[in-house]
Amino acid sequence: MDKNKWMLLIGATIAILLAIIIFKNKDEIQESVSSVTEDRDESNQSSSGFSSGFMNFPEAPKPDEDVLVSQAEKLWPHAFEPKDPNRRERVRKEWQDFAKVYPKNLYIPNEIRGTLTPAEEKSVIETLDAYTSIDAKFASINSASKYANPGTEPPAPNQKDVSPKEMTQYFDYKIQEIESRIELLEYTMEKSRLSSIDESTAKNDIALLKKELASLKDVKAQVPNS
Amino acid sequence: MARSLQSLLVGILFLLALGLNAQSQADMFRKPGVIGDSLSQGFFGATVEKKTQNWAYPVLVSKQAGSSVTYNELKGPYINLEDVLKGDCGPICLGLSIIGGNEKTYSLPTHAGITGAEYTTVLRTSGKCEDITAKKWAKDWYWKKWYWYTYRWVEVADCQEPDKFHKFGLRDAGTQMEVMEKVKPSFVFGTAGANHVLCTALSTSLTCLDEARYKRDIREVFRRMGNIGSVRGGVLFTIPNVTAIAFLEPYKDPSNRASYTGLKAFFRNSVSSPDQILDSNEVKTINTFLTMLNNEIKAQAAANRYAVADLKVLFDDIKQNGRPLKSTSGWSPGNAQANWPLPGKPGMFGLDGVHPNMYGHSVFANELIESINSTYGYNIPKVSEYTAWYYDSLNRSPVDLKKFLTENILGQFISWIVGIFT
Repeated sequence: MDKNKWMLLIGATIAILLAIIIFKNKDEIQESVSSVTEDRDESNQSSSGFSSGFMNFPEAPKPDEDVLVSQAEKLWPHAFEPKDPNRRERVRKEWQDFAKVYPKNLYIPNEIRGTLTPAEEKSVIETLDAYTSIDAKFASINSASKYANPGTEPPAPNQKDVSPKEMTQYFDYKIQEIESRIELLEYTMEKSRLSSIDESTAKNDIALLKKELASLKDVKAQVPNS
Repeated sequence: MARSLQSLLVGILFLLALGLNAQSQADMFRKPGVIGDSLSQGFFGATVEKKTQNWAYPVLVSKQAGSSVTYNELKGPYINLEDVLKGDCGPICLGLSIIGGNEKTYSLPTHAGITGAEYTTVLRTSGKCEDITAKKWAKDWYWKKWYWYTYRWVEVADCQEPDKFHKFGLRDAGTQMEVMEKVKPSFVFGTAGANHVLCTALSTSLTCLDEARYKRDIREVFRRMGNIGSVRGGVLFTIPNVTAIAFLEPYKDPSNRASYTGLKAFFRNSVSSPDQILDSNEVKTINTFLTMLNNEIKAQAAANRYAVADLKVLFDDIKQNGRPLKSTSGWSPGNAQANWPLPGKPGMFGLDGVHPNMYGHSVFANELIESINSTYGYNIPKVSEYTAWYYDSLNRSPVDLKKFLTENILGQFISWIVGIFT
C-alpha cells in the first residue's frame, strides 16, 4: 500500500472511532436526562412525607433537542448528576437518630417531632413574630453603626418602650437556637470526618457560640419577671 | 464595472466587519472579571454552594459568550432551606452546611462577587480583614537611648475577621477591588449596588441609607477600574424596586393607623409596632434613594462605555405582567411571577423572596446578554429559560413557605437573611 492509502485508512479509522464515541456520549447524556426525570418521579412518590411529593406541571415537555441538551449540560451540570433514590428515607432516619440524642433541638423538623397542638402552633407563631421583630431592630442598629466614627454610640432605647414579654420570647428563642446549633455542630463533628480546616472552623464557631450563650443567659436573668 | 467593484468592496467590508466583530467579542471575553454581591455569587435561601454558584448570572453569561470565570467554590455557610424542608438534608448535612468552607479554591479567582457585599466592602473587605482601612493605636516598644527602653503610640491596621462569605469567597486574594487589579480583566461585571438599599426592605427601616457613602465608593471603584488598562468593556444593571420583592407584602392596620399600614415582612402574623412596617412615606424615601442609586449606575456605565441592563424596568414589568415562559413546541406553564414558585405558578425567586432561583438567574442572564449584544454589536446566544425552569427543582417541586411557618428553624433562617443583607 502506498503512503496515501495508509493515510486514508488511518483517517477513516479515526473518523469511525470519533463517531462511535460521539454517539455513545449522546446516548449516555440522554440516559442521564431520563434518569433525572425518573428519579424525580420516584422521589415524588417517596413516602418520607417531608415534601408534599407534588410535581409542578408533570406534563411539561422535556427540552430534548440536541442544542438544548448540550446547553443544559454545560450550564446546569448538577441537574444531570445521579440522585440517591433512598436519600429522603436516609435523611429521615438520620433525624430520628439525632432526635433520640437531642429531643429538644430546635432544628428537628416538625415531621420528625410530631404534630403540634394548636396551642404549640400559636406559641411558635408568636415567638417567630417577636424574635424576628427584635432581631431586625438589632440588625438595623448594627447596619447603621457599621461605618460609625469612633466614640459614637447608638441611641439608648427607653425601657418603657420595650416589652419584657417580647424580650423574654426573644431571649428564649435565641438561647434555644444557639444551644441547638452547638448540639448540631458537635453531632456533626462526632459523626462526620471533617478536614482539619473544617474542624478548626467548627471548633471556633462552637467557642464563639458558647461565649454568646453565656452572655445571653446573663442578660436574660435581668429581664423583669423573667 | 464600477458597480461590480463597489459590490465587491461592500462585500469585503461586510466580511471584514463580521470578522472584526467576532474577534472583538472573543477579545472582550478573553478574561471576564466579576465584582458583586449575593446575586453574582449565587446566594440561594440561605447559603452559597457549588450548584448555586454555577447558575449565577455572571457564570451563565460568560459561558454563553464562549468564556468562563473562576471562583472559590463554597459549601456553606448556613442552610439550603429548600433541601431541609424537602427532607433532602439531615442533621449532619445541616451541620456541615452551617460550618461552611471551600470545595475548591483558586489563589486568584476571576469572579470575586461576595454575598452581602456593596461598593464599600468591594473596596474595604478582604478574605482576611473586615475593613482593611481600619486602624487602632498600639504601643511600639523601642530603645530611645542605650539606657532607655520605652514605647510610643503608633497607628496600626485593625484587622478583624470578616464574615464567612468573604472569608471563604476571597481567602488570600485581597479585596474584590484588589482582585480585579491583579486579575486585569478584559470585561467587567461590575454591579454591587443592591445592598445599599435592600437593607431597608429586610429591616423595615431607613437607617442604613447613606447616599454620600454610596456615591463616594461607587465612584472610587470605577475610578480604580478605569485605571486597569486591560478593561475593554463591561456590564452593569439597575437595581429593581426593593419594596416590590416577595419578602414584603401589603398590610392594612385594622384601626387605619397610617404608621401601622404599609408593607410588612411576609412571615409576620401581626404588627405591633410601626418599626415592623414600611409606611407610604418610607416607601417614597426608598424609591427616591433607588432612583438616585440607579442614576449613578447608569452614569458610571455611560462614563465607562459599559452596557447597562435596566432590571428596574424589567422587574416592574414582571411584577405587573409576569415573564412569558414557553417550550420550543409552544407549551407553556403560564407566565412566571416575581415570587417563589407555587403549585401551578412558576416563579423566579428562592424561598427568601429576595434572590433569584436557577430559572430566575437565566432570565437575569438573558437581560444582560441582550444589553451586551446591543451595546457592543455581538451575538451572544441567550440561555433557554424554559430549560432552566424545567430543571429547576424549586419550580418543579415547589415549597409553599407559608405552610412552614410553624417550623422552629424559620426564625433563624430569617435572622440569617436579615443579618447578611442589612
